[in-house]
Amino acid sequence: MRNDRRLPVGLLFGAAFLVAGLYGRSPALLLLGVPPLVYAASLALSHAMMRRPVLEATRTPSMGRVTEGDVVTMTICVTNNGPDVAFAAVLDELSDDMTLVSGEPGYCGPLHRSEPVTAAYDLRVPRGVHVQSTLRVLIWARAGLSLEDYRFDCPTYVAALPCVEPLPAVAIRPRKTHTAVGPVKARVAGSGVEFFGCRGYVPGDDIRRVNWRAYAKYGRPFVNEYEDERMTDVIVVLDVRVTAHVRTNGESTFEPSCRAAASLAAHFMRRGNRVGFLLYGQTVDWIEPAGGRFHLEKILGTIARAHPARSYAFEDLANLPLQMLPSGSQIVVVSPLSRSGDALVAAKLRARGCSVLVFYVDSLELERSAEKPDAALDLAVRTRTLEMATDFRIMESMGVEVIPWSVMQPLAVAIRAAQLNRGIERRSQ
Amino acid sequence: MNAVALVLAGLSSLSLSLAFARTGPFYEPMLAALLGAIWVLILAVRPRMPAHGLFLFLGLAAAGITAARGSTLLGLAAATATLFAWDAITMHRLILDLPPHGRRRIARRYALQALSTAAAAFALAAGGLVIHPTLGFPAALGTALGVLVLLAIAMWQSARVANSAGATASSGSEREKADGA
Repeated sequence: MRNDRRLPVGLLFGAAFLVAGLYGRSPALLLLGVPPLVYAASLALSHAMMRRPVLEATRTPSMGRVTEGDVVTMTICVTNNGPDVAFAAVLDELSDDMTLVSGEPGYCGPLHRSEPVTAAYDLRVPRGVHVQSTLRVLIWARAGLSLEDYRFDCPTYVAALPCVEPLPAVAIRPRKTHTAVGPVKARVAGSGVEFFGCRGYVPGDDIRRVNWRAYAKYGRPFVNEYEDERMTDVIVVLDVRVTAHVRTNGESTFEPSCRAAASLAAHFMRRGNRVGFLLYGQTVDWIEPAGGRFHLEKILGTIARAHPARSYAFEDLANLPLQMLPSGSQIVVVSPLSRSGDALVAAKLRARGCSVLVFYVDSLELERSAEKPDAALDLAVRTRTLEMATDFRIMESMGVEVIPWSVMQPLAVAIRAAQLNRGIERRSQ
Repeated sequence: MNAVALVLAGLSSLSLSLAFARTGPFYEPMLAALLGAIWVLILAVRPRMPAHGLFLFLGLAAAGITAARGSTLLGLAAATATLFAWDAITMHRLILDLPPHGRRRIARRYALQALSTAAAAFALAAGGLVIHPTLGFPAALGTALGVLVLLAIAMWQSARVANSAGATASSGSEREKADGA
């Protein structure tokens, strides 16, 4: 109720003028107290005569879980179970990151008894878990200046999951695999399709696997062996440290990183692996490796809640809790690796027997596009490029595979470029 | 609603400048006009600023000074205009988030109510200005005390009704909780 503030103000000034007039025996000052007192009296009387409705309000989203950038229709409904109200304004409060696409988040007009009033509007939601709570209804008195402000607590949650991009096959070589069949080459002979080696024939071997050329050459039978393909644990680590990410001209490396982590998790899970997830930044948000659509939803939900975070405990990537990560698994790190010691963390992971694939989130193009080109900028870019190259060399010398990815281009392009480079290197060797 | 506030703030500034021009040294009307202009500017550009309460206080204090110096009618006009300008901007801040068509309807309604109340307040005070020399100070004092008593009764009624109104609203989520239970 907004009269609370206006009424005391009117009373205070009216009383002040009355007291001053009585004290100074000044009729002029006494009369000056009349307008504030009439104002306060008008507010009080109008408030006392107001017919109060009995209201019920609800807000319903068309969908509770959407992909980022999707449009959600919100429907608000207010029902008056009390006497008719000649004029009311219903107002829904939007959070800052939501964009109104169409419709009005409110209603103005009469509220008749037992006639529900509905209003629908469309919102575009960015990644995140969005909570709308307060729904306001303002009721005007029939006469006078009084106004009542009802606030309804209708918490509505809409989770906008990160967008999952289709990716080309990402080659991984973990040291350990599970016994179940999967997409990863297990470095043991088995029932795969890729040639692994030859061994001497033993009774019971399938005759179709006999290598006839070797038999002809050596005079005794050999059989071909194929590399077994098994399931493995892939742990996707998303670095959300605020110090690691760059934000310039409203563009940030954070949102593309979230999208990349979501796409990689979905990619590895669709190929039949068990995927775990670690959000590193403010706290350590850890999801055990598992498979299935529900598990993927759980990971996407965690990424949806991610935001750039600052924590002194996790300021360095060196504080990554290695004990949590299953030894011998495949670790996929999505990080800008901003600090000098970050690259050395890969060494620790290798020491635990993990295979490490780093998606290096490169913000150079993003930052460059925000600045005016000049000689100093060129020098800075060259220096940064050299630093990056040094970091890559250090990591590659430790057996870590690095895929540099500029946030200005899709992740799939970076993966294809890395595969192409690897092919060229192999051919040149 | 902002237009009502702007007009009333301008009127208040004009009344105070005229009153000070009649009774004070040369810099007083200039100061009143300058402060009035600043307030009008703030009302127009930054209606959400919390500084309007300060201008209300300054305006009413200046109106008191001018009335005490003898320019009672101008002081009354200034006090009424200042008070209702502050009320208009308070209400404007409250409805800023409403849809435009709703704002227009509320503004029309409010302007009518506020201007009629302001006119009534001014007329009552100006009437008192006429009554006072005729009936004398005791009659004016009696009228003032009577208004205060009426006001106290209205306040008491208002508080009673407000307390009973607290339980008349419920949200959908609360109802769902109750249904679930």
